[in-house]
Amino acid sequence: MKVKQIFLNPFAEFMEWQLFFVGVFGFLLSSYFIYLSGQQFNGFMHFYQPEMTVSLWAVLRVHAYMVLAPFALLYGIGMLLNRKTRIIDVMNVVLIMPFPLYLALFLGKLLNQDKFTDEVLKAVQSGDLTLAGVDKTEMLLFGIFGIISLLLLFYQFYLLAKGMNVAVNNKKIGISILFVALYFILDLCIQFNF
Amino acid sequence: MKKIPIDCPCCEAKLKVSKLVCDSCETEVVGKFSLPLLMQLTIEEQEFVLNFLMYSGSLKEMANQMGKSYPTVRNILDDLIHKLKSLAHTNNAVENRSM
Repeated sequence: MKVKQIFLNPFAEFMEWQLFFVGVFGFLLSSYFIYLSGQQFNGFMHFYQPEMTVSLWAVLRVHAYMVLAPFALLYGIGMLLNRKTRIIDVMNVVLIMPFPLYLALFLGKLLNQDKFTDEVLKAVQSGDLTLAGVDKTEMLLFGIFGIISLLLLFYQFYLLAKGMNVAVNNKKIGISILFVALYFILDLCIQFNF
Repeated sequence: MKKIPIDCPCCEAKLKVSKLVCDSCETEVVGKFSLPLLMQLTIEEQEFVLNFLMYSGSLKEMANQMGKSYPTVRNILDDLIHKLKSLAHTNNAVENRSM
C-alpha cells in the first residue's frame, strides 16, 4: 500500500473497522488533551478556556455532540444522494476528518501558543501596535505555525469531501463543495449552543 | 493473450464481429455479429465481473483481496451496473434502428 495513497484517500484503502478504531482512538486522545489543557469544545474546529474547571466526562460529552451533529447531517444528505450509504462509512469520515485539526492542536500546545497569544494581546493592550516588544523569532515561528494550521484546515475539508465521495459514490465537484459548505454552516450554528 | 479491440481506432464507434473461424477445419462464418454485453467492457471491468463471480458475490471478500475498502468496491460495482444498463440501452436502440 502506498503511503501517498493513504494520505490522498484513506477511505478508499482501509477497511471500515480499521478506520473506526483509529478514529475512536483519536477522539479519546484529543478529548484527553483538551481536558489536560483545561479547555472545552465550542464548535467542530475550535475551543475556549472556561472559567471553571471542566471534567473529562464533560469534555467527552461535548466532543461526542461535535461528532454526532455532523454525522447526522452528513448521513441524512448521504441517504438522499444514495440509498446504499452506510452508517459506518459516514461515521468514519466524521471520526477521521479532524485528525489534521488534532495535529494542529498538538503543534499549538508544543509551541506554547497560549503564551504567545497572551504576549501579543498584552502588547496590543499596552499600545504597542507594531508588536515591537514581541520576540521576532517567536513571531516568525508562529507565522509558520499559522500557515501550517491553515493547510491542515484545508486538508481536513479535503478529507471530508474525499470520505463522503467514497461513502455516497459521488463524482460531482458541486456535491463535494456542498458537503464542506454544510459542515461549515453547521459548525457556525452549533457555536451558539455551546 | 491479445486484447480484443471493442472500439473503432478511427471513429471510436463500437466494433462488430464480421468473421468467425473454426480452429480445427478452418470453416469460416462471415456475417455481422454484435459483441456480447460483457465483451464491451474494458479488460479491468471484465476482470472485476469475473472476480465478483469467483467470490460468490461477496464484496467484503473482494475488498480484502483487492486491498480496497468495502465502499470503494461497492462503488465500482454500482458504476459497472450503470455502465451495463447504459450499454444495453444503446445496443437496443441500435438494433431497433437497424430493423
